[in-house]
Amino acid sequence: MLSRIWVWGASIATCAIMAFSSVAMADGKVVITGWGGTWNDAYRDGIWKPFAAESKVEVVEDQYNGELAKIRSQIESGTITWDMVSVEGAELLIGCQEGLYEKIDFAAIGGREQFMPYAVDDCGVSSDIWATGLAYDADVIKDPPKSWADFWDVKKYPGKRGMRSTAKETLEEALMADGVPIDKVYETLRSPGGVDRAFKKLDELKPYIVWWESGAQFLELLSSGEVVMTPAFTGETITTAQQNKRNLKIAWDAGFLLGVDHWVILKGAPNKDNAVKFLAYYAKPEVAAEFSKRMPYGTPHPKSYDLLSTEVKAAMPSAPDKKQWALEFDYPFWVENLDDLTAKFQAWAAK
Amino acid sequence: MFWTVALLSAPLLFLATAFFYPLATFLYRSVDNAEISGSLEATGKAIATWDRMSGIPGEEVFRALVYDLSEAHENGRQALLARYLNYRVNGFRTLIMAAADAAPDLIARGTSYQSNLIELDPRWAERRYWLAIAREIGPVTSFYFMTAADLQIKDDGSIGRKSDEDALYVAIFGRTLLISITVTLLCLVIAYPIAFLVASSPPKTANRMMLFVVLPFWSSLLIRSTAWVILLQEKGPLNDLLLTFGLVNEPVSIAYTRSAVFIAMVDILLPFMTLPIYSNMKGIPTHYMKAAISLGATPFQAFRRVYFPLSLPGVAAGCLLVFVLALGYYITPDLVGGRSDQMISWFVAQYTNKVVNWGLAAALGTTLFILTLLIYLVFAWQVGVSRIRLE
Amino acid sequence: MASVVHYPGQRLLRAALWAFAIVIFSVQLAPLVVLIPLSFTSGTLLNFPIPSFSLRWYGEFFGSAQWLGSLRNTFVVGVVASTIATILGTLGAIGVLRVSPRLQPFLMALLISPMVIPLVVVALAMFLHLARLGLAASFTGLIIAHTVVCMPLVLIPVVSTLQGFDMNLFRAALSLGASPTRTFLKVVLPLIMPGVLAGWLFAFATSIDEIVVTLFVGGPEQITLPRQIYSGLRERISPTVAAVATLSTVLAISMLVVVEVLRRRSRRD
Repeated sequence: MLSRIWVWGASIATCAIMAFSSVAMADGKVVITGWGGTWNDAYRDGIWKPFAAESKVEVVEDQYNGELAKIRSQIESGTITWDMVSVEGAELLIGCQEGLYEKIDFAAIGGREQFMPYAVDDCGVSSDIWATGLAYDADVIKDPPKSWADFWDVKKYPGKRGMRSTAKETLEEALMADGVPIDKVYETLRSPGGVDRAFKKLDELKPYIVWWESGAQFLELLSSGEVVMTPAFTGETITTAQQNKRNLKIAWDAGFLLGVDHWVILKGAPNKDNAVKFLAYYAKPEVAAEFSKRMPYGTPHPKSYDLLSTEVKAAMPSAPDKKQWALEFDYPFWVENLDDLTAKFQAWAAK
Repeated sequence: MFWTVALLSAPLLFLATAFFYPLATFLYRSVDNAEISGSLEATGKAIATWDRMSGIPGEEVFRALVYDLSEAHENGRQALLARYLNYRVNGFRTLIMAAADAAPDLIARGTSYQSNLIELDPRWAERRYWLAIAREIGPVTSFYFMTAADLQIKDDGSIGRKSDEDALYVAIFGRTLLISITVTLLCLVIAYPIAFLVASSPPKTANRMMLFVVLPFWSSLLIRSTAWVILLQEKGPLNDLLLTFGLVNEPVSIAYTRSAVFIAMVDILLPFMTLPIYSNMKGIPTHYMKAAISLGATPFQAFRRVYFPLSLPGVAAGCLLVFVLALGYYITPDLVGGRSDQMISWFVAQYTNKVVNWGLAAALGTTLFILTLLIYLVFAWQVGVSRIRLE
Repeated sequence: MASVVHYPGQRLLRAALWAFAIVIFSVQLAPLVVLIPLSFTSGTLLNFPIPSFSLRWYGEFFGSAQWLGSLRNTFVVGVVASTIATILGTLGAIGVLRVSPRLQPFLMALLISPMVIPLVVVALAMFLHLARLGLAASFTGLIIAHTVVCMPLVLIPVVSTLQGFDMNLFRAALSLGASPTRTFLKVVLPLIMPGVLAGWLFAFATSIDEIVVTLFVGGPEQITLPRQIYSGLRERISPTVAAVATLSTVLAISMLVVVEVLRRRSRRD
């Protein structure tokens, strides 16, 4: 019996040694963190793989759900594992202010002027111009919702609702549902009692809400029928609907939030040079366009748009015909209030 | 004796450096105030002379603060300071960030620091910010434990309960206990008969049954939790089954509710109940029951008076394991439950991953740790740790 | 054990118990079974109904550097951590049984405490500690953390095996002139080997399924299989998870059979 045990143990040890010896020895690498799911798929196939092939720099990818805390915690604990991250506008400005990011060396990536002005910042270059809109399964809901008030109407549309588990986005949607016109949303949030009004509106819907955190989760909830509607990242929704031949639709006319994500380089990133190399590679219109071809989001490069089909351009949230329903994130408001409202929101949701 | 010490020193030394020491420093974090006291040393000294009874501190305190902020600005610590003060009083973030940016300029302008700072932001004339600084300037703070107990220091310095709207953690601790107790009881009710059946079956049958008993132990917790979501969702197999058999008229929603948390947790923790009970029952001599019955007891009486009391140490070990493990559960409720079904561990993770507030994470974690430790010690003292068996 | 007490209604009671056990066991089998059909979906979503039958997610698993890399990481961390844990746990178990009975429970409680302290607390404490040492997000750090979590799972079975061990054998070997080391290697170790091996397997099984500590301590280059599954569930829901689940179920059942065989052998010895 014993001899068998030793044979068994020896084979395991052999396997372990083989596993150890097969650890790849790459010359250089860069750890890039995106939004996961189909977003990472689009970047991987369109940009990361060609970049790795051209530069011989290995791309190690990771994913997160936009939590500034994940970045703060790396800087504060001194364990910096990410080199580059795609962050939302508010997190870009706060982090830049707090010194979490390296300043972008625009000379090294071909100049700041080549980009659209609102898509660059001292600390970042846009990774995508995206939106979050009201999504539903048109095979289930025959009478499309037309407003956020419809989203709140559980009598007309029975069933649960998905919602992103963040204060940013959710409070705006609550106010739109409460009848605040798109151009007055941030004015209301800034006014005394505005935030309370949003929370009060959320109270009404709370028993019906299933909270999600990532771009993949809401798609799962929506397509499994667990929720009948959800605010959704529009690009991920459109791409997934195509891939799975599902009839998922965005109610653009209900009003949607338009935002800009940015590539930032973390302060003290271990592979900073390779991160800059990546940005220099990315800052070419034909490269940036490769992402949009796979996921209908905008790029910071005005010339990229000439390389895209009309079909892709029409699906983008920044398409001119959708401008009337677009509410641009008011990043200065969120810079001021992100920490407080995040804490308040988390406590409210947990009760 | 030499060999005993030699044998024990390796694991104990390892645990001491890799586990007990980190644990101790972690516990200390729940009272550590270095983020604030470290950046405001001069202010700390100056503000000690302020009587706090009325008004705001004088010129010298303002001056010390401006110098401290200028230094913090230089070595990039102002953001951390601003954030930790902001946990105390909302609004501190912008107040400190702006003042730190302006500090070199304020120093260049010289006197009066007080009026110049108030000119920069009129909130510097408000007492509550200064009271918070005066209170929170020491090297240790009780702030995080008070937050964990839903307490706050009012402006007059007295300690009071938070309003129902702001209170949170006492209820979460209650919820954690409630869920853990329910899961433990459910496990007990299910595991006891099964353990009895296995223990009283012939060895061959018992061995086969044990395979099923330990099944959850050998399959991934993550995968089991997800599978439960898929099984329990509104258009999932369970609802299909219920609808087909006409047991319900419309789909019941179980996924992302408290019931789903109970089902998944009981499923995963069941072996930790069954194994210790079974291990104990194996050791109960069968002739005890025989003797009782032959002396005229009914089978039920024999079970209740003889068998059951003898099986109690196993029950206690199983209950301890399940209860203590349930107290710390985080991944399973996160995957299968709703936002209002999360337990204290989830909040510890939350304060690490969503809001970097290690002080509060440590205070909540420490409270949970002490709670667990107490239960564990009572058990170790009353029943004995050697009852914990997994075979 | 087979000689069960006979009393009226016994058959009925046993039938009821059997029925109950079968219901519970089938319910516990359901989560394993439900993912099998989903692993053969041709779509990208993890829910019913599946569009059509396909093996693409198995292809995805075996063709993806990420999934295979995570499998390798899991294996490396699991083997190294559970081996160190087994050595330390066995030494600890022998040591515990040699101290005075009054001290025993205290030592035992100390040594298995990592198992009962909430995992989140263990994870966060180890993360902060390892970060200070510059070992967070490194294999060394992850292996240390896993070893801490796995050690109690070795200690428990080894202690219970040792309790059935006749200490006279040890004394006899010593009195015949064997050195303590030699006695340990030639007499004690072979006899407690089934317990040590069971402990190793418990530790290995715990390590390869560990997620909480890994989430806190591991970095993007120490992604283990559970970490990859977790992100496959939370961040990018992909049916590859179902394929992995099906594969790991097969693996788990084989491991379970191995353990049972070992247990039975140890009993026969």
